[in-house]
Amino acid sequence: MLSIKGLSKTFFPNTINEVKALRNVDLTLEAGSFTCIIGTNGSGKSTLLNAVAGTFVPDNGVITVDGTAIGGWTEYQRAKLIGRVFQNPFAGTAAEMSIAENIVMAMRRGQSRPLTRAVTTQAKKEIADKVCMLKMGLEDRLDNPIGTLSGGQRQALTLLMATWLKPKLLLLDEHTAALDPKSAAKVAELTRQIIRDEKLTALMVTHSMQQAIELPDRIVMMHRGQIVEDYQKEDKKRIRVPDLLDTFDRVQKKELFDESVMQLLAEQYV
Amino acid sequence: MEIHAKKINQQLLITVNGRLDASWSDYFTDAFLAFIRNGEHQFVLDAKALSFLSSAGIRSLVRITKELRTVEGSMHIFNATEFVAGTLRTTGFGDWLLDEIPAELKHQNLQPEQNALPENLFLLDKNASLSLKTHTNWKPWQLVKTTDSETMQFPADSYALGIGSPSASGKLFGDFMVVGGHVAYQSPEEKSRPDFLLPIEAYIPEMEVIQSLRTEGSFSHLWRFAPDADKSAFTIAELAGQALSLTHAEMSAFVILAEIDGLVGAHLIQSPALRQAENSPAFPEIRDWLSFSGERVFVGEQAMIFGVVSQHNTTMNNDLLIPLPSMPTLAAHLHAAVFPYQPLQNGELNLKQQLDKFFNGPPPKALMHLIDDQRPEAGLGQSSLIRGAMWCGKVIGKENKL
Repeated sequence: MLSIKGLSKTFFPNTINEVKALRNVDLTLEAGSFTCIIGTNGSGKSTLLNAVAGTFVPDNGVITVDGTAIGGWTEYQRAKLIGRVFQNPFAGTAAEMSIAENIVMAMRRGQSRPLTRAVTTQAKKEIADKVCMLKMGLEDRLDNPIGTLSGGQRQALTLLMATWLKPKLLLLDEHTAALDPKSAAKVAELTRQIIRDEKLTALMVTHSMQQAIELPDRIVMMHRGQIVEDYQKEDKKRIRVPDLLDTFDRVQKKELFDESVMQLLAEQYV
Repeated sequence: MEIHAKKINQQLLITVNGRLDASWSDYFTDAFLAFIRNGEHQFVLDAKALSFLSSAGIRSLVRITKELRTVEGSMHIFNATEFVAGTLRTTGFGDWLLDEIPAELKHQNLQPEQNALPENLFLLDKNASLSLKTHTNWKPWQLVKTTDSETMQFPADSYALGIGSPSASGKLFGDFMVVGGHVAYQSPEEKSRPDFLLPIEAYIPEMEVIQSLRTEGSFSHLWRFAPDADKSAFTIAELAGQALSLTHAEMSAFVILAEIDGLVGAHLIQSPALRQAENSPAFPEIRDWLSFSGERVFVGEQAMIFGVVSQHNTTMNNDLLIPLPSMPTLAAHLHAAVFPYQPLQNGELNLKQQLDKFFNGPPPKALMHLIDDQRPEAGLGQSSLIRGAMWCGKVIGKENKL
């Protein structure tokens, strides 16, 4: 469903602030798979998601979604294929508009929106039916401004909006990181439920090792713009949080292994 | 809840003020486990101000007594209120209760609170010694030839360290150590955890070895060490020096079982048998062959260490004994296996019983060759230990090279 080949991006090239954010990344996601990206700060996780979403133009590489190369597409053109949930629960919705109005916008994403009444009785019924699954009682508050809701409620609605049209690919960028623990757990559970029920292909970035273990069926670890580990199938099933922490530890140990360590070990490791 | 502790003779008198219920049981348990970790194993609980005891509180007391049983410790309760005493009797734990204040506590021979235990030295067998065999056919980073390896069996009186592979597992040469015939082995793969081979019934663990220091025999001394007001931890060089000092020897072998203050070490992450080139791997390729701890690791866990140490520049010099940068008069080689923390009982310890306890408990988390890192500025220092036991013995006779 998603194929990334040879993706590279360097920010501020040839300056003192040069950052090689992505280094020749290859990644393929099967249709209906749920993959999680973990990694240290600055490892390139969000940059990879942004590259797929079209936030910037990569230096090299090819991205295809469902067999279509989208390299030349703008961010809004890609929105026809890609649903997206951001870390900030206030980023994916319009605060002054009602719940129903926000959702109607999502229902027509990528389609023409002529000057007709959008929130029809029929649309409202459809929205109420679907919002009901959130089990937050929001189906009775569809006319309320979405800005009056809590962060957790807004993020749950954002998730619903991002998946309303069953996107070819769902991108989740630390979408529970800004929520309180209870809301985060609720949104995480909704994420699992929606992706499973709708058979979506999803790529999620998270810093939560617990989520990385519990939610997806594949874990990719990034470090310094490269994929350094890829846990799939049996490997993914047997891995636990301490194993992931060990892997982080191992990756960071390599960073600390410099030439002075080589000299030390040449003298003392017989 | 308030918990106060006073050391009276060999017992720790604990006064508890408050309720021991679901809200406080974890706090209570953690406080006691910390006392046990600090070497306090005999508790008397003054329960005069303990106003309530729930099932969660009883569970906490059971957890503590289970932990105490592993170190032959004890806990008794006196001054209990009618409610607390009744609850304990009804639930079948009445034998924890004392009818009166223990005599030694009546005298209130109070000592100031302290963490330190006196140093304990036990002479196990003044005639005990160990013989040494060194196997150095392979030297880093030569190509591994068939003739470099030798099949070795490790019976119960063998103590060894080196690079080898369990027989029949191919040429996966990694770091290993042997303590009393128990083999701990770090498979040379980045993601692998240490494995172990145990002497069960007629089985004698066997390894294909390309490099080793092997001793056979028994230890003459057991030294129990613990921190005090002036010293919070013991470095490896200090412990190795102590082994030489206790055994009055030019070369000693020792086994240490102790709580870790921090370990610094390295281990193979690829078998040398896979090496295609004769030369040493250069930087950064070396990072694909060796893993370095990078920081002081495994703080609070339990280390089982086997080492051989000699006075440097003596007739006992050995290719596998490396001068310690922090104490150049000593040359040593040490391997450490890391186990999840388990308390050790005080006093004299039986090494075999401890080996059985650790190897039959939760598996080792790591195995490493200890490094004395005295690099300018970046150096991590020596590995160091907080409290534990060291068995040591004199290595005698001229080195017997294999």
